[in-house]
Amino acid sequence: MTKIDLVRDVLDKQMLDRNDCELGRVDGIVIEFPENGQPRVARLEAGGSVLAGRVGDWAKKPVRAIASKIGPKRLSPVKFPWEKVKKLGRDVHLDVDKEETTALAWEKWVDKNIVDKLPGAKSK
Amino acid sequence: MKKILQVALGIVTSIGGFLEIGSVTTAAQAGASFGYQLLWPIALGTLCLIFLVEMSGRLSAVSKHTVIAAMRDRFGFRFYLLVLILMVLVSFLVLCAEMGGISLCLQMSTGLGFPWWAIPVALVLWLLLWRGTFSVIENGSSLLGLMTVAFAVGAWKLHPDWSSVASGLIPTRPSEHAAKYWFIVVSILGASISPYMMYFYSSGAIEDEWDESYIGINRVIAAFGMTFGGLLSAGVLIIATLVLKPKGIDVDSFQQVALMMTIPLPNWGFELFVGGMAVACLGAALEITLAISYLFAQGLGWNWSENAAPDSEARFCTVYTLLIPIAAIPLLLGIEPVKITILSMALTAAVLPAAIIPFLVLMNDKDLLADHTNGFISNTVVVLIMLMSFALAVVSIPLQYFGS
Amino acid sequence: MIVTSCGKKPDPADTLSSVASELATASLAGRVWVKHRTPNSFTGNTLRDSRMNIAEQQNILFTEAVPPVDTAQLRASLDHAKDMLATMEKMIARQDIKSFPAALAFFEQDAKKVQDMSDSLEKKQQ
Repeated sequence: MTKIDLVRDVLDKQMLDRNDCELGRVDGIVIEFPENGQPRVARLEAGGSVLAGRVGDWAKKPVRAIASKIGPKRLSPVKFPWEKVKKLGRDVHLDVDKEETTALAWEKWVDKNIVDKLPGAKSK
Repeated sequence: MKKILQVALGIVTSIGGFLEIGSVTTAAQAGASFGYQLLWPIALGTLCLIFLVEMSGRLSAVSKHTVIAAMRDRFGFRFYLLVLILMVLVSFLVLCAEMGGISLCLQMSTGLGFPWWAIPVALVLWLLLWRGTFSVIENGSSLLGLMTVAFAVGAWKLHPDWSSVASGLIPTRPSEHAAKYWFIVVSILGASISPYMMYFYSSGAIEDEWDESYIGINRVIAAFGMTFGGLLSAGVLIIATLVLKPKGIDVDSFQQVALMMTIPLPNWGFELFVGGMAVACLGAALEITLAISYLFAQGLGWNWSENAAPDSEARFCTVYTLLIPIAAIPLLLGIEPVKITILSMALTAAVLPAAIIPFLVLMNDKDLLADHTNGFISNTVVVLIMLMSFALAVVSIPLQYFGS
Repeated sequence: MIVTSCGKKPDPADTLSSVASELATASLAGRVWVKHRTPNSFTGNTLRDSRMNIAEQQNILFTEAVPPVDTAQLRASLDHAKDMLATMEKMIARQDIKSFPAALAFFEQDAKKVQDMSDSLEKKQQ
């Protein structure tokens, strides 16, 4: 059985989709404690609210307030079930396509509301 | 053949990266106030930077990660956040200074005051990033920045007593004005050892798709590029020593540095200074802006690349789109760029440990670098210089601004 | 800039030395202008900045940081120097390069007096 050091090898690592596109970083790991049976790694999470929690409880409220005023109204953090982890190495490779996830909600929102409003955004 | 060209370009870029309003102003102040005595911090700062830049390139080439990405990977979010905040704040000040430098050069050539140039400069800076690719920006500004070779030529033409110059490489205690002496030492170190250079260089190595075969080239570029840059700074100090010091001129404005160039180079000294410094500051401003954007994007896992269209790197591009206008504000308010420069250089020295310590830990990590971890010399040189800079900064900054 | 404004008390010798530096800067600027090495606007602005900085330092010199020198002579020299600077700025604006050297020479006489005072004060302090 291979051992995985969750903090060293998974947490804070870059997540990549099937095509090696960036999906953000592993901001949080959720471990479930079922009634009967072993604790298990349920999923990876990403997003501002998750990061706020890591800074401290005091940070959650202001981050939530900002997120409710601007940005995509993505109400919960980005979640990836543990089963989707295909490979661990320098980065975490997930068996998903970026378009199927909410990982790029902010990227798309910023693109639509800021970048595309400026001239010359579409090519170099 | 291609690699030789790359080495040449890399060296030229590094020269440009070294010389900017901070290194020039601090070197001129040093020469005007203390003559050759303050050559040693320029040498030490250059040495430290050579090691740091070489390490950044090596880390990226071998691990295929940038310094910032590796930092978040290894140290976690909270530590990254601390480094992010410190580096962004200090780099932001340096960015204001560089934009101020460009504005001052435009003021000197046209007569129109620098606050008027803040917005045009911000716009040009933004456009270059928005529409330009990494290599165009890097190579363009460095080739033009070669005008700054005028500093070396000028120093040569003044026929300094080279043995006196060489004696300045040995650290000595000042006979008077000690607080000012050590403050200038700190400013020179902060001007030479710029953390943003590490982040920029490392990201560039990834953009240019370096791999282990580039380790040798990387060493050459770091060593020669930074050394040439250091020599140009030394040139500024020598000219200031021979032109400004005898007249009792203390450097507190960029105009004085422009003036001093007209003595060794009567025909083109002024133009070369104004043109060369405008480009050098522009190059530095581009690098700092990108470095700050990389700090956000790479640490938070966004897609980033200066070669891709803004459309596909929306958050990364938005960082610099917001950053540049904000950095123009102090200039619009008429805050003198040289004052911002001196403060930002000293603060850079004070926050060096936050940038360098995690970096050194990474450079000794076998998981990241396999056989290419740091040797004893790299570690020792960098640690010693960093500790010295920090200790001096902590003592001399309060002394300079608040008296004893 | 809060840092630089609530800073330390001005030192008389340093302030005088700073004034001497401004005078020397103006003198250098004038000399290289006469030799056509710098643009008019640049030189005019440099002289004007020197004049304004001297005026600012003058306030400090005669209030908070009075140096142990002949203050009457100092005041007279500085006033003459500033007047000459204003005159030279106008000459530059008119591109009157013929009258400029004489004005510069007058200016340098007063500048030298101040510089000598500053130098002897420095020596005394060592």
